[in-house]
Amino acid sequence: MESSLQQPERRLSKKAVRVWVITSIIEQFINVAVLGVLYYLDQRFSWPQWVNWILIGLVVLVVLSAVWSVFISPWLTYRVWRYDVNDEFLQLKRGAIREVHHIVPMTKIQSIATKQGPFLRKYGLLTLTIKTLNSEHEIPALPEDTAIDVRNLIARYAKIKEVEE
Amino acid sequence: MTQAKRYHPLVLVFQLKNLIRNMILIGVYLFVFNAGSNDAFYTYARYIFIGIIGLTALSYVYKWFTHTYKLDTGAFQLYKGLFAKSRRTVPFSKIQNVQRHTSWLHRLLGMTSITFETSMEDNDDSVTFRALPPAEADRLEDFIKQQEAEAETEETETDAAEDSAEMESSAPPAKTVHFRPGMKDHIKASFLSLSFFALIPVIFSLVSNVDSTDTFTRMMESGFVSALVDAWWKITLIAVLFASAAVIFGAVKTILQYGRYEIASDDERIYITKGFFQTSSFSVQKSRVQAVEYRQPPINRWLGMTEMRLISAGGANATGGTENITSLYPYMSTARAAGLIEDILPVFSITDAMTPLPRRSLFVRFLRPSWFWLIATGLLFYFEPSPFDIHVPWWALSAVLLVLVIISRLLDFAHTRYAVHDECIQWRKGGWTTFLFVTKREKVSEMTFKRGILQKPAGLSTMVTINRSNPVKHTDIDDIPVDAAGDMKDWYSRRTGDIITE
Repeated sequence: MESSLQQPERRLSKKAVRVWVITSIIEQFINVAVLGVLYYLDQRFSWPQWVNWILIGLVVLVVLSAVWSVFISPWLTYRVWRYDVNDEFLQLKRGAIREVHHIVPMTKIQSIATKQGPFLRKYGLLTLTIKTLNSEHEIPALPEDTAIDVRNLIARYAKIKEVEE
Repeated sequence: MTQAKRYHPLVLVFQLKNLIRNMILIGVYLFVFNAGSNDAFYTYARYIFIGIIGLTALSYVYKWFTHTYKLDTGAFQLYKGLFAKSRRTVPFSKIQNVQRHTSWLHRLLGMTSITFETSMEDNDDSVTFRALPPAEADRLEDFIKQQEAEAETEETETDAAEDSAEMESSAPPAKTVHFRPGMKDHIKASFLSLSFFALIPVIFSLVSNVDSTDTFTRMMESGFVSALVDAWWKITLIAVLFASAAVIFGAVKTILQYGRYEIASDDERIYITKGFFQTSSFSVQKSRVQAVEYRQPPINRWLGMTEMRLISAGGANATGGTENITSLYPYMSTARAAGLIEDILPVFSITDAMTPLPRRSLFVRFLRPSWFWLIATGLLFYFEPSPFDIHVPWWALSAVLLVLVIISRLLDFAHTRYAVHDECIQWRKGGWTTFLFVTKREKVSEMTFKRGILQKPAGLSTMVTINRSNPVKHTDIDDIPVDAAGDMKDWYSRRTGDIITE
């Protein structure tokens, strides 16, 4: 029998990058705010010296993670994310540094849900959550109509259940 | 079969036994150790303690009155509640395996316990009878078997064949016994099961005897040589006593555990029974075995023995028993284990033609930092421990660990092998203790391939399979060539041909 597995080709929405950048910026602001409060408390109650060192360490970490999550990660994530659906398998491939490729038989999919936060809604995107008996997967940030199509496709293919033994 | 029944009244005895076992420590603390105390805290604590025990015991009685069960066609119906009633249906087709456990107390009261395990994560979804007469347990098990068999024949055969099908199902299929440990196995097991643990106190007694200042001063005072002879004579005697005690203890334990051990099967199911006074048995449908795992700790490998485990989707922990019955006799010779699997589960038979890893895998493995070693070295540097009052510099211990890590990696590389044959995939891995895992394509419910930053330039990949079990079983093999991973993907993509859809 011929192999039915092609490398997955379908990509996420290009707009996803913008959503990720925005959410990362917000997250970084929260981090900075928390650090600011800690720094204020540190000054106000003159906490011991080692707390200072930890705070400095945290500042370095926040700066690094800000650079990564705002300027690098969104583009990388978009560039490498691939998925595909056919009548037999759902394939998900992601990860720039560590590539992860999931192969999920359609017959094992138990449920599929869409979700949308405020930023995804603004850009007309949807996230699909796919559950099997043993695992849970996400396809983040698909254009709304594509997401609905994919959802219906999976729902149709996954309707066939194999006899569990 | 139409009337809903209460559970056997002796269930209450076993629940009480569990309650006592769980509460006894607190009870002893409150009523024995602090018996004389008139402190307000203890006084109230005692009342609360008695209150809790009383209420719990009452709740058991209430539950016994209100919980009932019924065997329907094709499913258990479990009822509970007096005012707000609930009914739970557990279809026989969802039962993954059956466990029976007979403890001392069960034996004393002429009872047994039985659990029908489903694949749900929640223990709530298995059907447990804490106490029932063995005959009733047999009846339940047979009823379910029969129902299952009927359901199958209904599916496959037409009405014309019904008569012959009925004839078949009325006569129970013959069980074949595949393995019963003999005297030789018992002796081997006795030496292996406990002797190594028992050596620890022996060594300790030796060390403490030689070190003890008492012996030492006596040596100094009353003639050095005679004291030395005296001491060594004592040490030898103690060692011999300890060793023989250990072996006897091991033998008794082995006989209690594996005295009536048996692996049997018929066309449909595999049956494992063990225990001498306290007995446990386990049965699983052959088609529901998800995978077979062989485990070889170093000692077993040197002696050519293998532990084998059947992985099934039912939770093995529902009965609360600590012993893991799904592992087959752990002191079986490797050849015999392989032969046994060929007899009872031919689909899971293993092939010897496995592919080793390419040399570049070893290279990649050595580039990978050993977090264990780094953290251990950090701790050694910080604490500078000196075990047994022997002063060793921290870097020496760290170096010893490093050597061990390197040996373990070399061994792991040498042991790791994989093969894909027909519908099965199998691989072996592990440094000191090796694992060999065999599963069928149909039973692999998901596959994942990973490539890390070191693996990509070397053209290597990690493969993970997910099998249904409780908890979910993830099994992986690291650093296989990308081509082999591609072959495995192709192999998996042909899965659709294996499965039967509803």
